[in-house]
Amino acid sequence: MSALHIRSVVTGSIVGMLLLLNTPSASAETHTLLVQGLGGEAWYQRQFDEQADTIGEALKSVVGEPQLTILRGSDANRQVVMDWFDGIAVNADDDDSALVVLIGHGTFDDVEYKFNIPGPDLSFSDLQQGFSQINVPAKVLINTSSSSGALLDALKEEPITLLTATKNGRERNATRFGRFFARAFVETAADLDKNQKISLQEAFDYAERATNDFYESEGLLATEHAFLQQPGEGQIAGRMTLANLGSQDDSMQSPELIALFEQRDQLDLRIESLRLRRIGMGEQDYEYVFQILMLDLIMVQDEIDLLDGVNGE
Amino acid sequence: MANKHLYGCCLTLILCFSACFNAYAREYHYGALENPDLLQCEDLHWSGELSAAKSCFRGLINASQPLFVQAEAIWALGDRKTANSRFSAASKAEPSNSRLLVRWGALYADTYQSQEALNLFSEALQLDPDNAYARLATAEILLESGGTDALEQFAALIEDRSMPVGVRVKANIALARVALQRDESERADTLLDDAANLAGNDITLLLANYAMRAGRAVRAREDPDEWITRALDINPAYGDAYAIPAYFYMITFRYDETGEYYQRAVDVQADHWEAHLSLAANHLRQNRPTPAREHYELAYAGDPFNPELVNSLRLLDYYDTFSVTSYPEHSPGSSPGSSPGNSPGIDEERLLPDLSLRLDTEEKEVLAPYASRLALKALDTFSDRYGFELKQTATIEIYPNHDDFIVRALGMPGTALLGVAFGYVVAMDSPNAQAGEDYHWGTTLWHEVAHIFTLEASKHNIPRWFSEGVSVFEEWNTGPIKTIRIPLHVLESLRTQEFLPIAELDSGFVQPEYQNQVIVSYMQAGLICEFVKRNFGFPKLVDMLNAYGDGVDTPGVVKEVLGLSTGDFDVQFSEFFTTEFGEQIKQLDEWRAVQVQANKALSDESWDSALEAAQQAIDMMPAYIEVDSPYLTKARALVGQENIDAQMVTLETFWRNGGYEATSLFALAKYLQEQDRFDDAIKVLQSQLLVAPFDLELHFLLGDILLQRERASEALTEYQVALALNPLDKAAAHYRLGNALYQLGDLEQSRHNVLTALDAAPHYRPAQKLLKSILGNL
Repeated sequence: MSALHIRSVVTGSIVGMLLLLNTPSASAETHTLLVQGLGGEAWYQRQFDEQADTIGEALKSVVGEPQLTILRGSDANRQVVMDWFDGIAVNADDDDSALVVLIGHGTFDDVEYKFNIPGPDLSFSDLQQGFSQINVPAKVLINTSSSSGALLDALKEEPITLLTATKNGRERNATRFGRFFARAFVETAADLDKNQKISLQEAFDYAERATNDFYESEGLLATEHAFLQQPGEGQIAGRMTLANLGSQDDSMQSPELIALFEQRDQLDLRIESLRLRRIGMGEQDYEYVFQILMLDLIMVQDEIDLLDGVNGE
Repeated sequence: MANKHLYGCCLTLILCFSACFNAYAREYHYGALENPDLLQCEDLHWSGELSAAKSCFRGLINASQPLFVQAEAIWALGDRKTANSRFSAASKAEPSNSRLLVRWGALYADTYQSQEALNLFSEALQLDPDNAYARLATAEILLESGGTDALEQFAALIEDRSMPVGVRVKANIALARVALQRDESERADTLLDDAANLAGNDITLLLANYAMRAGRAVRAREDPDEWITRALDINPAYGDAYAIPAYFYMITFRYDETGEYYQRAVDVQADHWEAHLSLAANHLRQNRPTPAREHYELAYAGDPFNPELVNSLRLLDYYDTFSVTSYPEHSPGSSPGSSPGNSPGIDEERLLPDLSLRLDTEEKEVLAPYASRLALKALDTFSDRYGFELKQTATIEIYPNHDDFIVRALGMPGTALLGVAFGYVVAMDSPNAQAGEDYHWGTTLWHEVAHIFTLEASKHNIPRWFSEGVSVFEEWNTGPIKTIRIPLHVLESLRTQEFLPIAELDSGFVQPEYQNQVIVSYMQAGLICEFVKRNFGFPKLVDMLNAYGDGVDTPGVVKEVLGLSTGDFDVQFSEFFTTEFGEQIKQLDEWRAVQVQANKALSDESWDSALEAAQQAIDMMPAYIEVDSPYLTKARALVGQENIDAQMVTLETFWRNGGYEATSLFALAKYLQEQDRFDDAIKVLQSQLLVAPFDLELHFLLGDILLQRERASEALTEYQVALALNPLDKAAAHYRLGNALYQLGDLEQSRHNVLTALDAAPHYRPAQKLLKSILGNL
């Protein structure tokens, strides 16, 4: 088992919480579980090790070490996973979130999906049961395994944001998606809105494109088609941050900086509002107003950089 | 993975010799029919009394006639489906009638269902092992599919004096046709004389003979009309009298005459569907899609079973969607509706653009900048070198789907060509058609454009080998990769195989006798040109081209231009080759062993051993730069040793020798950028545009370095191409565009692009700063 600089497992205990969703909420926290399944062959084992390392490190930068549970090797067994769900069910607050990431191989026998881990596999029923006992508004399951698309139909009525590497259970070949998904956590090109954060949506978009490009450039028939299924209005993937590309140490912020951040947030909201009105505006009018707002935003950002001592590049 | 750029090229439809020569139209029975009523109608048909023949056949479709007679009559009237039902019923009524099975099989062959036809011929032979017509028909189908056994089977039929005369005549004609394809005129003469002797007074048996003699005249560059007249005297509606010589014009690249004779064929026989198809293909070959469609549609109406027709019509629908751009841009022909006028770069007299690119709309934005630049450079280069100005616009079509390209080239998919030249029209695979391969499309384009010059400068009077030889030679001397590249498997073949004599080199392309011979022939042809350049001077190559244009044959050209007999030439060329490549061939086994050793050490992570063996392989064959090049092995071993500087030195040598493995060279370019060797990095990346133009990162990196070197205009092109690739990170693409436009002084467009970038990413700090700069200067 490769080294991971986060505690390997805390069975059944949730030690801390941290904001993961970008929606402002002082106390909301996200409970995160990363499970690395069996590689089977050495090549896959290395791949999964690397993916778990990358994703784990990135999540740590967002979630913080105490809130992140990583299961790998013999620790990644069904009982420990179910204990984790039990713990969240007991400890989570009403506005918390739950994120589960599965990296490895999956199988689907046309009846039930299973994620391959030591001992009994983790089944669809286990995942359904685990999530169902958690009462939080945002539940997210990321599954980069083969056949993971079998969960799409099975969980479509559940309030779970679900990312799968395949579009159904019959895409049974080992997937490439996980490799590109992990890469998105450290790749500036995946940061489409250039806010120095990688959201679930951005990571998905990046990995989906990279996977498609891989099959195209190799002249291969794609044997996997990733899918992102969001319940309701589908806001969670865009708002959920999975990785920070820049430093995020906000603990030493001065009152002036805090005020500027508030101004920036207000401008962001105005820009967002303008975008919503775009269809009814002429393109020139939109560009004119957008430019004015951008100039305000730039001015605020210049002041932030000045106070922060950064050059903004 | 394999490096690809070459030797899947072809001048024209050479590869479809057999298929294209299938049925010209309704086939004569050659004695397979015995029923007097049927024979009466057949005689009317083959003497050109078509209306009377039709009435006669119609009269046979009644219940009083045997089922097989009805089937034959219905077939003769063109209703092949009903004919099939009637044959089926006839066969049930007479299950042991082998002759009926042969005719039923012939109907299947007539509807392009070769396997079913063969099954029926086989059934017939089981019932009657001596059935001459079943043997003949089997041999014909085998010949169409390229089976070499067919020739022996025809010969056996000719030798067997117990065979019906018609069978022996047809077998002679079939072998004469093959002889003419191989340009073996004397052999063809003998066969045709024998066929004529066998035919005696049966003038119908002479029809195909005369048509083939017309073909022979074309092959010998003589006037075929005497023989055509003789055939038409027997049957004024005999389209093959023209279609057969047309075919031989086609395979000798004389497309004007090809079109003229196919047109005459359909003029005398309007239901000659094969001639309509070939005429359509020739129109397309000459960049005339409208009449091409007209004849394809006529042919389809008469022969809907022909898969080549179906493919061609589908292709034509797709073809119509292509984006067409003429160069120099803003030239008179560059946009619809533009009026002629004087534009820079245009020949004022002919007022035609130099180049027309036909590209798939989804590839246009990406390929057009590079394909046009390279093609225009090729046109200039070859114009200068061969002293020939093109008389028409050169058209280059690039296909993103290999099967579409092959249908364009040959009518049917399933062949591994990369490019084809029809004269002024070139068609080729796009990099997307060769996904997964390191396909050097730039070299393919260069090769095909060279064909335009050799074909047109020689007025299409050129043997295949010389046109291919010049194209290969130009790749090596003036193309994007300027180095002589002989594939290893060619050297391997030459350990046991001899080069063909120069006078017979065409047969290496047309009728290869061993697996690698076509590629060996490409290399031999290229090396002959290289040999001529080195020993006699480059102008002699031009003289050879012009001599071919004057109608001189190869022995004459060699004598006239080089002052040698072909025998002496072959001796001197052999000495040249031995001097240049003899040592490489000798040490091929050792080189391979060292390669294996290096790769084994690499996979064992024994870096020192891998380095040593790879270096040994490099020293033995320093010019070998294919995907399994020891340079790449060495570079990987150096990565293992974490010696990045040495790795990059190795990759740079690989690149300078002509290597183009995409991933390694992208890494090299980034390294060179880090070393502040910007101009070298640019050269590496620009070379890769001719391999991987759909690689987004390539355009971003190249654009960034160009911008860094204040080459904003070139950077802008790269960013525009990047945007055309629909990048996920649109903010970065628009920011880069804005930056390039800012440097070019186009502040308004720059502002627009930067705002677009910020719309996608409001916190994109570099874009924010650029916006401030732009607005400060507006």
